[in-house]
Amino acid sequence: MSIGLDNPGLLPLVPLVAGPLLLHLMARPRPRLLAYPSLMLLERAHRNNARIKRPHHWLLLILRTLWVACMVGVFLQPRYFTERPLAGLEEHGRNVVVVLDATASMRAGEGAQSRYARAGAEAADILRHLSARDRANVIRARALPESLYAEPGVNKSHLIDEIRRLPATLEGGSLHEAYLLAVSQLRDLPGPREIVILSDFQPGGWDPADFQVPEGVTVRLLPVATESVPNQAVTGLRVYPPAPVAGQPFTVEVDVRNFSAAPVRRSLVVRVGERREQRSADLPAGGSALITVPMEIEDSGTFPVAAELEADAFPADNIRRGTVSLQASLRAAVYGSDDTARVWLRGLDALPGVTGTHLTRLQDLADTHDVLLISGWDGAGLELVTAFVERGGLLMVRPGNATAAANAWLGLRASPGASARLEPARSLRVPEPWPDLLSLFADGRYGSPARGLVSRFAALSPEPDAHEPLLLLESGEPVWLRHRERPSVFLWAASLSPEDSTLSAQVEWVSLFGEWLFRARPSRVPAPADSGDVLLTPRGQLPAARPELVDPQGETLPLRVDENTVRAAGPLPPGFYRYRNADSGGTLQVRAVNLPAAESDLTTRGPEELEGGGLSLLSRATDLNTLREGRPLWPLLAALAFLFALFEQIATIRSASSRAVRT
Amino acid sequence: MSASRLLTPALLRELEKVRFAPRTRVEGRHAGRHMSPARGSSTEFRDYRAYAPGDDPGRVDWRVFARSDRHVLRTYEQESQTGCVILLDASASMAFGESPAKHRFASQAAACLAHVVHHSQDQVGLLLARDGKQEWHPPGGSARHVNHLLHTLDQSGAAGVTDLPADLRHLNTLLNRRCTLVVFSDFYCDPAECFTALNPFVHQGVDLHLVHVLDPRERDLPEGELIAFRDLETSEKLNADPRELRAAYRKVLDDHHRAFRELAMRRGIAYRVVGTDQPVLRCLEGLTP
Repeated sequence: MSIGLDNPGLLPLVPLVAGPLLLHLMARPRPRLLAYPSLMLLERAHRNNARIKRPHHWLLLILRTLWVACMVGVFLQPRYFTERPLAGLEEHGRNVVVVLDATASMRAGEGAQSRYARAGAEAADILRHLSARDRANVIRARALPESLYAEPGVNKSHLIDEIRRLPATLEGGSLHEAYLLAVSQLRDLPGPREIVILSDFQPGGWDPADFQVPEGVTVRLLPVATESVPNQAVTGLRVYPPAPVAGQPFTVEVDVRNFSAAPVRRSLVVRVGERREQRSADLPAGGSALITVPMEIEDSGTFPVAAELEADAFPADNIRRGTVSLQASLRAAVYGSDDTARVWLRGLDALPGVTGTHLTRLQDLADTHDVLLISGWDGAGLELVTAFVERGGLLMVRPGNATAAANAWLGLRASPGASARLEPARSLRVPEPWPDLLSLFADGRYGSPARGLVSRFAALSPEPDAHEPLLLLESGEPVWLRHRERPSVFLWAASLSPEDSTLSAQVEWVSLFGEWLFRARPSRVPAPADSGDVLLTPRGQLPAARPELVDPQGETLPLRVDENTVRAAGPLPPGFYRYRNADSGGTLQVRAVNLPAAESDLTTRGPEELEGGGLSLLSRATDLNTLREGRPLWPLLAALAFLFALFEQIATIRSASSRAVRT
Repeated sequence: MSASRLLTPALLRELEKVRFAPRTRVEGRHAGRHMSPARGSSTEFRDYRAYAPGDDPGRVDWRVFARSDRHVLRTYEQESQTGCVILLDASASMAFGESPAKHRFASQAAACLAHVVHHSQDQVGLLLARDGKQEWHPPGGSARHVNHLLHTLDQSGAAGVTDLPADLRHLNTLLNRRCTLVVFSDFYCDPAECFTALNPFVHQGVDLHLVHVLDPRERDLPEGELIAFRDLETSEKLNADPRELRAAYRKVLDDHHRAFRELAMRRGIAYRVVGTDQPVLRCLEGLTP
């Protein structure tokens, strides 16, 4: 806390404060001398009177002195600083880095302007009020922090122009990364250092604990979101099964969330290729809904999928995009020569749209195969199996006496022992919680996936927590496991020979086998990217000598192509992007880019949620400017001077009137 | 007796109708007009009392003896010549006031009293207290004596500091018989101390009259914004605004007067406040019929 003066040249006027005292003493009328018989009674009366009058005189003197002091103060124009002295008094100027949130949520409109527009105006106001010696920089928080200067500089006008010129992005981003960049820029600079973060401080994207305030740095938060924007958003889009087959039904699952405090009904349009379906979504206040839209497309190929809500206050997140790849048929290969392999082959034959092939050796596994089932695997061809899984193949393994490498890859501590005869035959059960893969059977309408008995069983020794159990013996030994790290890898422990089990004889068997084939198979289309992410594609997915990227408007975007990857030169806004062969013009891949779901929550946060850990909160840039430039005290002093003058007049008039009454 | 400047012809005409009439029995060496506590041989019967050896046998009431065979003496009220002593406070504080000053007013009142006492064929004395000294003129009844007193009063001026209780104590040593004591003063002293000094007179049966002489400007402070009041006796100064002080001063003055009045009433002392703007004969109220 300190006081500075705008007009220190008037300091010599300060002795004027003594004026009232002198006037008070000098202005007293020179008394008329009167000989009086005795002062005995006069003094007694004077003593009695003085008890009342003396405070009154002192009050007048004090009021007059204070009045002059205030008037002198008005002309000196003092300023009150709560934190630091004037920048001009510092040896070095200030170093101020403004972190300006430029993520998509800042495009939300509040009244006549967007949050970003208000943040820009506040940032410009902060920069304008810096002195010529102060250095400043602006870091726009977006997917990758964008620093307008490499380090704080003295040219604030350029920063203000850039703030006006650059719009908010359609990207997500991290304030924390921008903050770290600001801290690094301020690290070795002399003089006061300050970071001002202007953001809407979205819920979930802000934790004061992330912001460790370095010593000597002041961090202030200026929230620009004054009101919660009622927003509904499509926050998720999935196709189920992830890799459907042409002609078979699949489902488009859409997550719709309501970020407002009132329940709403919104219409949702789902498009897959040329197909279009519309649904109404009843969204509870602050809640979400899962909208499922069944689809069936006879053609094979890769199709764009989009789910779009009707327009609201923040349209950027009303649409979400994806792609679905429909294969003409499913090609499955079975490797093994035992009864279990034969049962699998029969199951494949029983399923429509699936072509089953028996492999005599693993080397015959082709790129066109989608599913591989191995019974009694000894670990041979591990590389082939690994490559198959990595390119999106679905694998079922009944382990045999496998190599250690194969066991490790499968998540087993050791090879299972020889199959043992179980007397009596054991029944199976589905573990709790019910696995998602078996959700078709959850309500019992399609029977039980655990129906049947097992009389020959080779106990597996899985690594702890490496697998998700799907079926268990009643005694708890796992029969069917799913690898957690490689979700397309499944392990089977029981023999499916009719002599050893009754599983394949159950009516649920083909359903269970089909569910596994169609639902467990991973999608081969790349997952949608978030806007702001660098679109990165393995070179192998783009079989063309000269791939090029085309944006939704048909413009070709620059690419950086190296030996292994193809990447977009910069962050991309939401939309469908297409890789094509520059030579032939054929489409190589369709990529969807979506707004990060985190940007959809436009509710505001209370100050108590923002402050903490040495962060101080501002309501407006003028607060900061006031802190920095000091609060001018002359209006207060003028008001006080007026009050003192008023009180002095009242005291004088009261004194005169009371004298008149007594007279 | 030649009239002094204090006794104007108009005043003298008024005084012709006035005679000295003290409230209490007087004690004098010469027979006079006033009732005396001593039983004497006048014609006004007072009481009987038993004969005691040494009594004049001629005063025995023989008629009573004839009826009751007891020697009883008739006693009569003895008319006595009385005395009046005037104590005039001539301290500097009495010089206050214009046309007339308090001292002049009090001197005139004292002169009137002396004139009246003399014409009542009584003796009159004067103690002039001034500047810490007492000028004592023992009671006398001759015209020359009274003329001398009038001349003294006329020529006396107010000056110096006076301690009225001390003057009273001194006077007490000078008086050897009951008389009427009239004190003309502005009584700028502590009431309790003053009456302590008066108590011996009360015990001696002296008929006490206190005349408190007050100038109108002492009652209501003079007008003006700020006045440097200078004490006429001590020359001390006090700067005060009469407008601010007036109310408090009035209260103090009233309290001062009330204290004198109450203390006087308890002792049977006559006390009156007379302003110099009032007729001078008001000072003699209670002393004249």
